[in-house]
Amino acid sequence: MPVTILIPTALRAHTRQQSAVTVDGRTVQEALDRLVADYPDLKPHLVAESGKIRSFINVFVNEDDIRQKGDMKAPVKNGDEISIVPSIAGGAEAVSKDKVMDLLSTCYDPEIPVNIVDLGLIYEVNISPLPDQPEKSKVHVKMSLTAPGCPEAPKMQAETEAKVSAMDGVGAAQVEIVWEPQWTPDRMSDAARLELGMA
Amino acid sequence: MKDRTKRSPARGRGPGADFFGLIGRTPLIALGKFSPPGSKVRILAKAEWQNPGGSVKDRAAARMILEGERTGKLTPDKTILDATSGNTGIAYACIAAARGYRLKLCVPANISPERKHILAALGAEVIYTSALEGSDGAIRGAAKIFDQDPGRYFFPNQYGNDNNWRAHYHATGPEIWKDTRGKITHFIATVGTGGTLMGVGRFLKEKNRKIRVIAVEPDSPFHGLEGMKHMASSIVPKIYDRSFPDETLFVSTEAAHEAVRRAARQEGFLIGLSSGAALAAAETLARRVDSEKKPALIVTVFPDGADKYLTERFWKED
Repeated sequence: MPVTILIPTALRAHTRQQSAVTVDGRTVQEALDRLVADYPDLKPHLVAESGKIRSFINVFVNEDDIRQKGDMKAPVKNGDEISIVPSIAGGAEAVSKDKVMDLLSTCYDPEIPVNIVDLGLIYEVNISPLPDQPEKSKVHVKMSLTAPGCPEAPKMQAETEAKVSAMDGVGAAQVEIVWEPQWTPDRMSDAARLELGMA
Repeated sequence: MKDRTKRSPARGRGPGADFFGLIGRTPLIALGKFSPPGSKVRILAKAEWQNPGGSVKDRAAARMILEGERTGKLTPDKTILDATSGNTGIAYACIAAARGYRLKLCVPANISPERKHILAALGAEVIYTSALEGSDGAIRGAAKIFDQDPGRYFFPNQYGNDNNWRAHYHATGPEIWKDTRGKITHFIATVGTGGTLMGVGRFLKEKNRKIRVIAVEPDSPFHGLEGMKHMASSIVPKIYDRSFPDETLFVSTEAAHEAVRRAARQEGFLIGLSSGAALAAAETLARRVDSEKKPALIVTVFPDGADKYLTERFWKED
């Protein structure tokens, strides 16, 4: 799957001055292996003798530190952006998608006894840095509801947004209700089906 | 409006000292475990974390600000603006607070979280520039802001301000000369702006032209040594002359990490990353000089301590 790797200025001499390189890969490991295969001069700058990424380097997939997502095995999908940043970034307190999903799985549609994550209502979670609050991130959630025009929509949106806003490390949260694509029951997890007697 | 009719900064570190009075006269510490055993080569280092703002940058920042005031370029209506990878920013923030100036800093977004907390605690306005572009992105960011409204800012530009290296020519150099009673044979220092190396180096060469001056740079343009610059791939600071040092040694980020861990675990000193780079290079130099069977007194500078790097992963490696 094609993913884009953003190249720091300091390394562009080794990528013929390209600021971004597109490679194929299913995991961060595969994408970076492809990168150093295509541009072998990069290798000593990125990979230690042990074969691992050098310890001071942080790798992000769309602003998420891969150390919170399975490290080098972190999956990447079509259109993802991988950035490589020296670890003077620290990045210790980043909010991860997993943490946001954990929190969202404590939220319920008032009429259904299954949380909104297992129901498959969460379409997208994007985490980006807040330029004016370096310690905090902005979280943007796209979710849907089981039926268009659901009267509970504004209330659920507000409640979810308030919960995400209150997370550690979150400076701003936005929950957007979307109706496209329309939710269908096959988005539910097995746990949800079991709970609702649909398995 | 606050009355900013300036009192001269208090001199000295006695009771009643102000921020300026505490700058400099840092101790010269011994790194016995890093000198080749049984040799006549010694390594000493200026413990610059003992400055009131926690780094060597207090020296240059204070001189640039005070000279700005003295020459009338810095007036109470101006905002101080500069690019920094952290320590100069902290020094400016302390001084701006003490002297009542507004401050705006351009800083790469990937500086350590501890530095971000310190700058926020001191009330500095910080503009984060691209982590992918490093300190050069911050330099371009500050220049751009200045050009948009030059009348509003006092822009010391630490990378091009002669008062940066002069702070070291007039103080750090003489302190080293006095504390070693003129016996120093090698001066080795990391370069970021080049201020320490140029100022101390020039002073020492005037005292004794046989003293070798050695610069330390990261071994790669892509490194984790905050504050240091790989000159061949960077905007070379105007105040830095790459042909001035007798020699330049190159240190890997991993070697600096190793030296930081050893300084903590073998000497009890919590030193920062560029200090680790300086120490790793000083040790290499010490071994080389010792293999030539020569006595030597190697002096380096530890720009800051470990307090701003404690969340880094390298502490857990070995």
